[in-house]
Formats: sequence, C-alpha cells, structure tokens
Amino acid sequence: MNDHIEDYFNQDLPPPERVQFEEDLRRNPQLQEEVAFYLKTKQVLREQTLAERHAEWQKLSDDEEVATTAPVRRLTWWQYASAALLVLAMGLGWIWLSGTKQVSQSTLAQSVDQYIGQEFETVTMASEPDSLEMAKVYYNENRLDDALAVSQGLLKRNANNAAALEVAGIAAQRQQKYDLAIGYFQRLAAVPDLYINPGNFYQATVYLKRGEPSDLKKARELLQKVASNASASQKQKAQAKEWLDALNEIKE
Amino acid sequence: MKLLQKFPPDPNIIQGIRAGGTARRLHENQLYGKYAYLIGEGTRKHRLSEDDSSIAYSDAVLTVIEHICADRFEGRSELKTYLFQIFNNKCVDLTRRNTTKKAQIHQADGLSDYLNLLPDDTRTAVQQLMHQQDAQLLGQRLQELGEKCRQMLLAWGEGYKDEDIAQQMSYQSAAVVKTSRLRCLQRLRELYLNGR
Repeated sequence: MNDHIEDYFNQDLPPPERVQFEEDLRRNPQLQEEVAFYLKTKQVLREQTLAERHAEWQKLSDDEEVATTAPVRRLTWWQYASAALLVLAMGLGWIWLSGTKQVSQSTLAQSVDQYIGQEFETVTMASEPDSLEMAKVYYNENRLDDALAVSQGLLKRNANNAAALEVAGIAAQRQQKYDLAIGYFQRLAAVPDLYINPGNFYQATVYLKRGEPSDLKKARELLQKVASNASASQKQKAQAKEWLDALNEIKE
Repeated sequence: MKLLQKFPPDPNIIQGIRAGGTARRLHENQLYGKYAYLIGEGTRKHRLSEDDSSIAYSDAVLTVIEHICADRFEGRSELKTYLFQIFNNKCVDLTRRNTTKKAQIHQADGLSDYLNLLPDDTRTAVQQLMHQQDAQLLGQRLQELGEKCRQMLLAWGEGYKDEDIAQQMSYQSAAVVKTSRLRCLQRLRELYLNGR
C-alpha cells in the first residue's frame, strides 16, 4: 500500500509531495483503488466500533436498570420480629432521651436555617422538561406538596432515582416533615456509584435542625463522615467542619 | 442549590478523554451516560424508534469523542449543545435513510471530510470504487486477521493515536505502531483481494 496515503489524509505531506500525490492519483487507477480501500476500511472499522460501543453502552444502561429494579427479598418471621423489637427499642430510647436534658443549640439551628435558606431556595433545572423537572418547577414555585408528590411518583418507578430522592428530601425538610426527609436522605446516601453523594450531609442538616439530643450525636457522626470523605463536595466539607466545630462548643 | 452530580463536570470528561490511556474509556462512558436522556428526544422529536434513536445517540457520542481527540471540539459551545447538534443531524440522517432506503447517502462520520480533501476530479472515481468494494467481505476479512492486527486496526478506527496504541499494546514507540498498522492494512487488503 502506498505509504503516502495516510500522510495525505492526515495532511502531513509537504506541498510539493502533496501536489505530486494528487497528480499520481489522477493518472494511476491502482492508486485510486488503494485510496478507496483505505477509506473503505476506515468506514468499516468505524461501523464495527460503533456496533461494539453501542452494545457495550446498552449493556451498561441495562445493568443500571437491573440494579434499580432488583426484586424485593421476602423476610422471614424472625426478621419481622427483630425489626419490630428494634423499632420498639428506638421508640423507647427516643422517649427516654427526649425526657432528659434539652441541649441548647439555637445558634446551630440558626446556622442550618441560614444554610437551607441560601442553598435550598431554588433548584437548578435542566433544559428538558420531564417529571423530575416538573418537581423542580413546583419546588421553585414553593409548591412543596406538589414537588413532593411528583418526586414520590418518580420514586415509585425507580426507587433509587437519586435526583428524585434529593428533591423529595429537600421538599420534606422545608415542610418540616423531618422523619420523611431523613428517610429520603438515608436512601440517597445508600445509592451506589454517585460521583458526589450528598445524602449524609443532607441527613445531618435535618438532625441539626430538629436538634434533639440523639439528633445532635447522629449529626456529628454524619458530619464527620462528610468531612473525611475525599469525594464529598468541597463546599459541603467546609460547611460540615464549621458545624462540627459549633457542635463541639455546645455543652452537653 | 447545587444539584446532585452523578457525573463529573464536562471539562473533566473532556480532559479525561483527551488524556487517553485507561481513563479515556471511563470518561467516554460517563459522557454517554450523562446525556443519554437525549435518546428520548430522538423518539419524540424525530419519531424514530427507541432502537434507532439509541444508535443515533451512540453514533453522536462516538463522533464527539473523535472530535475531542482530534482537537476539533474547541469548546466554543457547551459540550451538551455540541453533542445535541450532532445527535440531531444523526437523527435526520437516519430518518432520511429510512424513508429513501438509500443506505449509501448515510456515510460514516468523518468519511466525507476525507473525501473532501481529494481533488474534485478524482473524488467521484474514488467514491465509485468505494461503492464497488464489499463492506461485508471486508468485515469478514478483518475477523480473519490475527488478533493483534485486528485490535490495532480497531483502536485506530476508534480514533486512538499511535502513541496511545503503543502504550496499550506495549509497543516501543508510535513509529513502530504506525509501521505495524500499515502492514496490517496491507495484509487485510491482500486477504480481501484474494477472497473476492
């Protein structure tokens, strides 16, 4: 095969050699056939590459789909019993803790309010309207019930929809439905393979806002996780450290 | 509020693809996943089937990757806008191909760029010769090449530079890759001509 063909198409031939190559191409049918073969091979390789990459990408998409629609495992009777006991113990613990001392945390709560006011005021939207975007529109219009309802609809179809969990959690938090918000943020924190997962950080904001004794301990643990997480957002890490400092100053 | 980031920002994806090596594939997959919702746009706006829209999207992503590697994407528009425009064109091409049944009007991306480099008075002759060549047979012959040759040619077809191929396939230098690759092309041509 003529060595100049590739250099010609890469535009690496010096002008005199380029002119000579084009002249040869006009007169030499053999060279024309070689050029045609070179380009045809490129075309076939491109098609094969497309077929292979397309199959690979489809598989990646399918795997994600499978992961989000995995069947629910049925629990045995003793697992139900253990869960019931755990819930009972947590309830008793909460009653005991709430009946004891009330930690002064008004400064911290104000800081959280300020953060929520600044950061959760509006959500950024993509340009394409879909259900998630509708939830964001409702949120931005302060129609929090509607935002929550649309997000919940999305979560029925895909329980691991991270963006829907995020909007649902924030909307619930704004409505002071703290238990609901914590539930969504816990699920968000458990979503695998997110580039940046803010689930723990958001949970901490709810605990800080609710401000009960056991909440502050949980908030501290979560904020420590955020502060030491290399892949957490820098802004949230900095905020987590600030709140941890504030928590340390609160007298038990 | 900064929304949840499942995928890295576009500049990171572009940088990762340009960096080559093992990171390139990861960033290519991220690019694919980040804007995969455009597939729905193809079915709604262009009334393509899900399969057709999906392949048009893969084709568009592959083209964007090629443009990033060849420094043809200069960042004058956002990556999403750039990808969307190419995807839109692919959808139009696919619709036209489906309605006219003329497969030859749908040329692989980049091919027309190469053809346009040829002098006007030779372009038609080369195009006619290409139409006479049997893509299916060429594809078969490609499978019959040794695995190393095939891998090298596929990597080249995917837009990998000789430097990257040398690194991936443990060759001494890009120059050695180029020589080997052209030799593989020659062997493919001989196989093709003998079997025709």
